Amino acid sequence: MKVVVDGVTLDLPPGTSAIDAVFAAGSDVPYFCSQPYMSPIGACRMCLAKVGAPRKDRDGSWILDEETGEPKIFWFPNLMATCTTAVMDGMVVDTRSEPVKAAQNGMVEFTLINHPLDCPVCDKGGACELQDRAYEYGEGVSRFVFDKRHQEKHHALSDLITLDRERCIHCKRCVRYFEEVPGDEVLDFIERGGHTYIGTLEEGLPSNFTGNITDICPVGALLDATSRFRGRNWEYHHTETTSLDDASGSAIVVDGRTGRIERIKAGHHPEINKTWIDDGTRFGHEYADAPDRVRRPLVRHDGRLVETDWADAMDYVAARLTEVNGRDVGIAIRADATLEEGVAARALADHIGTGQLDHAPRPAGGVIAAGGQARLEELAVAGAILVVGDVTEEVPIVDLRIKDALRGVTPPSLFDHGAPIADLRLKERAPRHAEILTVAAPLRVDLMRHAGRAAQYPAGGERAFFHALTALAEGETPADGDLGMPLEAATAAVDGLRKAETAVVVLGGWVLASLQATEAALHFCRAVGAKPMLLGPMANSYGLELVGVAPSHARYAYGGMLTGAKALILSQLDPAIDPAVAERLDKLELLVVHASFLTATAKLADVVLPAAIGYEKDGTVVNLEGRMLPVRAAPVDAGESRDLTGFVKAFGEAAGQRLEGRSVKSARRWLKKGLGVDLDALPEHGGWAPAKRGPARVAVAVHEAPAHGGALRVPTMVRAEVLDRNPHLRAATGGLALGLHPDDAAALKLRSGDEVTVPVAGVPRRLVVRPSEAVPAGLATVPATPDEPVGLVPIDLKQIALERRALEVA
Amino acid sequence: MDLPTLKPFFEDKPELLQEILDRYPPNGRRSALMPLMWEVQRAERHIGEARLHEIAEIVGVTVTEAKGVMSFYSTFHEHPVGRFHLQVCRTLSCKLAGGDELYRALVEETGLVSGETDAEGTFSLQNVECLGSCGTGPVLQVNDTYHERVTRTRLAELFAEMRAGREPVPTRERGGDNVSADKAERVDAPDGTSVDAPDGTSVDAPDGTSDEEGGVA
Amino acid sequence: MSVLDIAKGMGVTLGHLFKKPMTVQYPEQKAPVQARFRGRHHLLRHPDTGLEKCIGCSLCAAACPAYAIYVEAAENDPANPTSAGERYASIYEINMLRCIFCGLCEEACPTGAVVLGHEFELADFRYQDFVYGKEDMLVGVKGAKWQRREAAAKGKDVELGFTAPPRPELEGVDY
Repeated sequence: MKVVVDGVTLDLPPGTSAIDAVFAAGSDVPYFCSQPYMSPIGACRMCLAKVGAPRKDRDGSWILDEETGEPKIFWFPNLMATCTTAVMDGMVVDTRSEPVKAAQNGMVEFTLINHPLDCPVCDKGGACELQDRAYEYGEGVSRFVFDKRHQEKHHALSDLITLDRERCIHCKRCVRYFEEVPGDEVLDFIERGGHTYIGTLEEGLPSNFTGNITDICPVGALLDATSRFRGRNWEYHHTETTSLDDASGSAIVVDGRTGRIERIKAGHHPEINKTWIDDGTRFGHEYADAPDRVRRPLVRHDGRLVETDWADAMDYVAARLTEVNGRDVGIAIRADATLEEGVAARALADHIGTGQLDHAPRPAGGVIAAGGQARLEELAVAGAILVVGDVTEEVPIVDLRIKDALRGVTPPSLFDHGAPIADLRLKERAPRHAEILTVAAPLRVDLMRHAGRAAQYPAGGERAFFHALTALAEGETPADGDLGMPLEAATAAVDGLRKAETAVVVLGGWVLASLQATEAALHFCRAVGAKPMLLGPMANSYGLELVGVAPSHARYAYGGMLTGAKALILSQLDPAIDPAVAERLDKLELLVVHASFLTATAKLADVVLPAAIGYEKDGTVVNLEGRMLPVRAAPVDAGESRDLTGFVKAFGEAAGQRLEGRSVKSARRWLKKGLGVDLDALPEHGGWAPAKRGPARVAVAVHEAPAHGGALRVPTMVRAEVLDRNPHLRAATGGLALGLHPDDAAALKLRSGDEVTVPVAGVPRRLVVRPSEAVPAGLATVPATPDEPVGLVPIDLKQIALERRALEVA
Repeated sequence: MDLPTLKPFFEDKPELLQEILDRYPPNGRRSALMPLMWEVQRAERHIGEARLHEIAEIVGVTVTEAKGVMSFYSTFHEHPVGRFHLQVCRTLSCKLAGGDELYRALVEETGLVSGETDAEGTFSLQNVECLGSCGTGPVLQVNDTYHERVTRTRLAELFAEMRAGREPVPTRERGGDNVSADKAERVDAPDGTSVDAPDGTSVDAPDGTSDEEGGVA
Repeated sequence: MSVLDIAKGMGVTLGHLFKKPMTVQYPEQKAPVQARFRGRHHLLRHPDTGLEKCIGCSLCAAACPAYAIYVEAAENDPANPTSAGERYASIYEINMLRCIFCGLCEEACPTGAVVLGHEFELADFRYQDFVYGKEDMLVGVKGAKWQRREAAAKGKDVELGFTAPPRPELEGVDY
């Protein structure tokens, strides 16, 4: 479709908005209310331009200009909001003429009538769209000399978001965002006209995706409370990296200043998270600068851990390791280690000569499905989706992509200027195709609100659930209780999956925790022709399985290592929270702990080495769909913390060996040789991981007895193990929750907010009681951590000890 | 939800509830939001937070959204209004016709300012936006009834009626000079809510509006 | 060159012998500086409330061509505010070795909180003594670090080696 913008002729697909035509032509119009991936509404009136188009006569021919003989351009009588105007064939857009300039001046002046000029104290100052547009398009003077509107200056919308109502320019981005993207309408305009303000009656904004409104707010009205007054925008050092908080591989931008991470903003990855991230990823960075961070290596002398340097500590480790038979050494790393760290761990194991190598948490069923798995882009356009698990907490971005599928709008094609600024296919309050979504879980989960069908199968019944579904798919009648939903609903779900062009079955941690359940699920996927999507428990579960950070025998797996090994090297893991394990670790000949904090395990260690956390390392991770994504270190002062490659380098130096994986570069050489991937040449948005697995080591599946017990460890959006070091998130979530059915809580004489300690699978857990109808009677839910992965485990509610009573609400 | 234990408003009115919900298609349940609010307000003279929660739950929206709708319309009240709810138009036409003077007179008479209700619960005073009767300003709306071309004398009469506890009857002036008989009739209809089907005669469309077209380039 | 020329030259010299000398016997005698002379910075307070004018906006640091200023902001305790408004500077440091006394910080300041005063006697011995914090620059603090150190040791008042006409921007600064 031919469009002329300021004299530049373009050929654009129909349905393009005029604002995108303007930007595609290299011209510019200001805008506030439009936002990529959200519906254009033309609320701010900033993007006005002179628009005209030729007209056709009754006979279908163009009406020609008598003088030039060209089709005559009929200009619209008034300026048009380009964001809500679709291009027409032959359309002419003029963004530079006097009336347009006058309108832009006027709109800036008008928008600024009530906007306070407190830019010097505003956290948005320097990165503010209004500031920039006022500078670029404003006249510099205002004729309005009256008092400005006065409203509440710092209203805590939640513990994570501060709202300044004076600064709001009513662009409605935040309100639209909540309706369109997560579908949680927790924010709305209250009042009208000049009195309009943003408000909520939902206490604390109950949604897992609230932080995104601080990114999209064009002014400083909605601000990240964790970075309040921490620095000015021009002072931040922006590092574009990948989140290691969950398996989605969301793009994030880490903003640091003077060696500290001050805030995290969403990055843009059009095929993963678009421009959205969940609150756990955004606000869960404060632990990086926690006061109890281990910043220097510690070696035990006379029963006390004494600070030293890496060389000394490693000399000690290398010397002590020679006293132990190599085969008795166990090495375990946490599953958010990078690919390069995985290579380093392998190299270390090879050097020591042990088969006891593992990463944890590692689901019994693995996270790489033979025969390929669904990509997020496929999920976003799927015609039928079955979710088993609580994706909203487990990998929240998957939840958002499912909601994309419910809207039924295919992902936009990108322009040179990125995602369309105004995608005219998106509409406010678009109907959602709830019928394509079936959600199953042992308890009521958030996504069920958006699902056409919800199933609540008995806890631990994942395998039976899939067996029953497979039976349905094969035309048999399954046992009734296994499905957790009426037979007709299940039949409809199965039919939907079978008929849809793209059908996706999302398998959460509860399924993957059991090999049999995973096999049953994959069997069902094959039966209905659906693609599975396996939600790995941590950021690089996929990558570490790919590289082969796995034991050479089932008994050498992480669990076995804790009982069988004589010396242990643990990276970022904390098994000693279990008193029984702690007792065994205490008797080890050597315990080397690579950790960021003085955890229970680190306190038992002979050597503690400071570990870099996700924001502080360079490397590569593979997300749940098998996409390799770059991780880049932010300039953060983490003392002498190093990642595993640094660990291996120091160890090699002490042992007089140049080990593979001694640096990111060296590890990448190995990856190029071993897997055939060149990570130095990784494209900006990542590349697909090879199908080939790492040589020699094969992931060994552990056959486990069916899970049983009264407690279901549930995934949480926040990192449960460091929640106490994330004060803002802790306040927002109210602490780690012990979910109980209200009747069960009443029977135990517990109130909401009571702090209790209760043994869960032998580990004493300090939790806050949260009675909820969502939890079935007889079941308790506790948050999972890397050391206590999701699944069904025993709980001893008789031994529950009340630590602190909640305040009685009058 | 930890709200005051108030009996749900629609609990004992299933037929009414169903009748309202049936006006809209199944996927347009949220459209029933305002009719339900009207029912509550008519009965209780305001819509309390508990009621708002109840309505939001019935139509399947969040309370925030229900609140957004409610606060948009100045006709819905968060707090109970007095027996006589005095609403003064503050938009241009009425202002020119003496709306400000009318408001000041009301302030003097009642001792209230906009948004207040007196201690006895007799009067509430509120500034409102255009009441759509621009040809007959200044307009004072008492509860659901319009009183047009309100003069000081007329106001004194109105207050005399109201103080006596009677609902004042409007003079047959509605529509101004070009009033049609049926239009004037409707004002006296006891139920103000039935006035929602204008008969097409435009009160304030003087001839020659086309002259004003294209004022702003 | 004639004798006359030499006499003329000597005449100039002779003439100056009887004029008032241009030099100042500093430090015995106080050096006069101009009103707009740019010396060490002062951080001003609102004279009526006593609250700090600085709101910690960091614009001075952004404007500084020598990167001599470091600011960290924090939120005011509403019950006991440090500055007017929500935000104040919890740390405000100027490295006087880096500072080129150009006055751009003063120009950038939206509240007139940082003003270059007249003090120029800043020589000191140790690097850290050149980093002036809030406590060294807030209005009411007289003299450079070493002057105050010396005065405290001797139990005397700080004596500044200059005189200057008043400058309205230096609200509350008393030399």
